[in-house]
Parts: sequence; C-alpha cells; structure tokens
Amino acid sequence: MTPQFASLSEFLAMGGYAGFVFGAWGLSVAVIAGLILRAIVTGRNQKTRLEALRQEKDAGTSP
Amino acid sequence: MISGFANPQRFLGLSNWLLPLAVVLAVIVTAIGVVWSMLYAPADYQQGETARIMYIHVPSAWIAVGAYTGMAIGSVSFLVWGHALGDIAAKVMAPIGAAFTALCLATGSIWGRPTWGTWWEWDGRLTSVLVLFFLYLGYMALRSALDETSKASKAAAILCLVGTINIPIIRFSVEWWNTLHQKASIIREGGPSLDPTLLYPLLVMGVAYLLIFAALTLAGMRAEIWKRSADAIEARLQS
Repeated sequence: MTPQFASLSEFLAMGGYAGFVFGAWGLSVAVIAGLILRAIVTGRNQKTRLEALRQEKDAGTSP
Repeated sequence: MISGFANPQRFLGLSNWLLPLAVVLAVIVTAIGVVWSMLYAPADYQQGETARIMYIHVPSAWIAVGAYTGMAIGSVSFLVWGHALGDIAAKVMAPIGAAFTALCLATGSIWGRPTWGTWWEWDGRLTSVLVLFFLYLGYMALRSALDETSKASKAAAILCLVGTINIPIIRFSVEWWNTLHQKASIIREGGPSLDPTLLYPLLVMGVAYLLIFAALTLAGMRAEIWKRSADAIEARLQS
C-alpha cells in the first residue's frame, strides 16, 4: 500500500474539502477527548471521596 | 464471567485488568485505523476525499445504536433479576451514547453538505437518529429529576425499554422511507457492497470506536460503584 497523498500540502488540502474532512475529524477527536477527560476526572474524584469517607468511618468507630 | 459482572465487588476486581487492556487495545487499533483511513484508503470515485468522513461517521452511528442496545440489556437485567450492575451500566452508557449520537448527527451533517448539497433533511434515517438523541437526553433528564436512586433506576429502565422500539426503526428507516440516506451497505443480503479497500479501514475504525466505548464504560462503571459506596457510607455517618 502506498499513501494517497504525494505531499503534506496535498494531504492538508483534502482535494478541496479540507474544511469538511478535518472539521468532522476534529470535532470527533474533541468530543472523544472530552469523554476521556470526564471519565478520568470523575473516577479520580469518586475514588478520593470514597477513601476519605472510609477513613472518617474507621476513625469514628475506633475507641 | 457473566456472574462476575453481576457482583459490583467482583466487577471492580475484573475491571482492574479489563480496563487497562481495553485502553491499550484502543490506542493501538485507533492508531492503525486513523493512519489507514486518512492516508492509505483511496478516495471515493464519486465523492473524492469527503468519503474520509465515513470512517468516523459510520462507527459513531454503530456506537450510538449499540450503546442504547447495551442500556436496554442492562435495564432488563436490572428490572427482571435486580442486578445493580445492569442499572449502573445503563446509567453510565447514557451520556456516552448521547455524545456518540451527537457526533453521528454532526459528522453526517458535515458530510451531507458537500455530497447531498444540504446540512439537514427530514429523511427517515436522519429523523430517527435525532429521536434516538432525544431518547438519551430524556433518559438522563428523568434520572436526574428523581432524587431517590431506586425509583430513578426503575423509571429510567422502563423509559429505556419503551425507547428500544426506535432501534429497529433506525435500522429499517432506509428501506421504509427511501428519501436521502443510502441503504445498508455492510450488513445486508449478499454481503457488503462496499469495496474492501474502503471496508477494511472502516471495520478497523469500528473496532477502535468499540474499544474506546468499552474503556469509557468500564471506567464510568467503576466510578459509579465508588460513588454509590461513598453515598452509602455518607448516609450512615449522617444518621
């Protein structure tokens, strides 16, 4: 297999449809990156919260 | 394996190695898929380079429909067998599915402008996918409107199952209302009509999207299990 584009500028031009092709791809990358970021942040937040509450519970029950 | 998924604590243990595995596979397959579809797949003889939008539009449509189907399966297992993990999976998949449905609609619109000459048409396929998007939003709105978790879970599960009527409508919309969107070209009688040079990179991107979706769902389910455990401890501490 050989690449379909002879040069970087040809790739960036996308046969005159650069706005459409890179627009659609860029939007997809942005939304998926947002989903990944959201998953990392909520996961981290809930884990820290749970660990803090577990410590609080243990502190409350110990003599 | 299946019963392991039904128990939240065992699920956390499973996810400890399933999640990193899904992430690594997603990164590898996505890298292959992006390079293949953007650089090596040939341009379409009619659509030219705009056909490269297909490699993200079609997989997002698969995830849009697949996530809803996953939610329906989770909702059934929750309603019939009382599996908390089914409820957790459905809750976590909803915003992810909604995001992929939005991507499907947006990338389809961007692809439609140069190929069909319009951003939007009230075509059967386009309209039924828009309805799917609203079903996701309605599901999430209903969940957040009810404070009591057990009531919210039940009501949302029922709403989800009612909405599954839309899934076959999406599938057959291109047959019933033959207006603008093309007919099925991959899962159809007589095999795919798409040329292998375009079909293979599309399937790789489909697997990549599936792996991304799986990783996001696993991560979201872990966070939701931690959240529910934390909520339970908080309630006990306050009483």
